[in-house]
Order: sequence, then C-alpha cells, then structure tokens
Amino acid sequence: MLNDVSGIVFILVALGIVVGTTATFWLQTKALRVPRPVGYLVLMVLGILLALMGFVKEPGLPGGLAASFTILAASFFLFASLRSSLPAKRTSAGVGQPAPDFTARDGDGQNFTLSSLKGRTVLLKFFRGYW
Amino acid sequence: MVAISADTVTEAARMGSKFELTLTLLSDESLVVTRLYNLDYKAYAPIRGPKRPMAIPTTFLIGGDGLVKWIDQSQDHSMRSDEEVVLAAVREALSADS
Repeated sequence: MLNDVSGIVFILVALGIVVGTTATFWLQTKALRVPRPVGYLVLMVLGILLALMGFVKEPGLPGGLAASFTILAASFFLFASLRSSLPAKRTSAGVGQPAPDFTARDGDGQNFTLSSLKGRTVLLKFFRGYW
Repeated sequence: MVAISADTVTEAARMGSKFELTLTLLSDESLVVTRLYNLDYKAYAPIRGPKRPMAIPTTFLIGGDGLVKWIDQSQDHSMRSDEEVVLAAVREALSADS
C-alpha cells in the first residue's frame, strides 16, 4: 500500500512539472519572449524519469494512465524541440560586407528599395510571417 | 526598421493593421530577397494549413554606408531575436555613427 502511494506521488509531481513547463513555454512564446529551451528540456526529462519511477511502483490504472500521459506529453515536447532546430546557413553577406540591395512590395503594394535608406542605419529583419 | 517575410502583400497589410505596426512590412512571396540573402528554408510544416517556405529568422543591422554591421540568427524557429541584444547592438551602432 505504501508503495502505491509513493508511486502516485511521483507521478503527480511529474505531471505537475510537465504541465507547468508546457504552460510556461506556451505563454512565453505567445508573449513573443525568447524561451530559454535548455531549462525546459531538463524539466521534461526530469518529468519522464519521475513518471517512470512512479510506474515501477505499480500505481494502479489511474496512476498508470497519468504516468503514460506525462511521458507521452514530455516526449512530444522533447521531440518537437529537437525537430525545430534550423539549419545553420551562411548568410550571403557577412559582417563588414555590403548588404545586397533589393526591391520588394510593402503592405500598401508600394515598392520599397533598400538603397533608398542609404545614409541611415537600417534594422532589416527576416521573419516567419503572420502565422 | 524593415521587416520582411514570405507573406503576400495582403497578409503583410493585415498583420500591419492588426498589430498597429509602424515599421515597413515587406512581402517576399517569391522568396527572391530571402534567397538573395541565402536564408530560405523549405521543409517546415506549420501547425495549420499547408507547408510554406519561410526565411530563417535573422536580423541584420546595416550602417549608413550600406555595410552589414551586425547579424543575429536564430537556431530555432520557435525563438526570436532577444529584444535587449538587438537594442544593445542598435545603440552601439548609432553611437558609433555620431
């Protein structure tokens, strides 16, 4: 009986860690802050280990389901985090080299040419898009 | 300040008005500019809708002489350039100019 209880405690702590980490990560991403992924990944691994420790203590059906959910959620988070790394590509213009000039249309459909801002400091940002 | 993505002109306009952005939002639907800077990245599947190409999130600071002064590139598409890091680089560049 004692074994059962400690298993459930492990699983509940693991579940709390995984759900809390996911919620924090999601909120930070929503607020466009930069999440620091290493801490999140460590917490997720901790969650998986705790859930596994709960599993070996035979927590019964509800505990087993909660542990499975925790492990699946944390594994998905780890998998998605590792998948989301981008290839390191060398930009065509390095520091100290001229920025290639270009013309593109802005939100009003007007043409914008980079060299029209010559003489001024420009912050040029490539971003994902509206989605 | 200029921000460029693979959005269409309509999408860029919608995003500009939605977030009340005052910066210049450019549409690079055909990825001409993105390829010019060697930043195109195809194999990304967003949560909703079909796969679409995107640029690797990158920030360039270009001086008045047209030379690149500073580059910040993301290693992860869920991450963005850190606001304070970018602002520090901008401040440094502006103080060097004057």
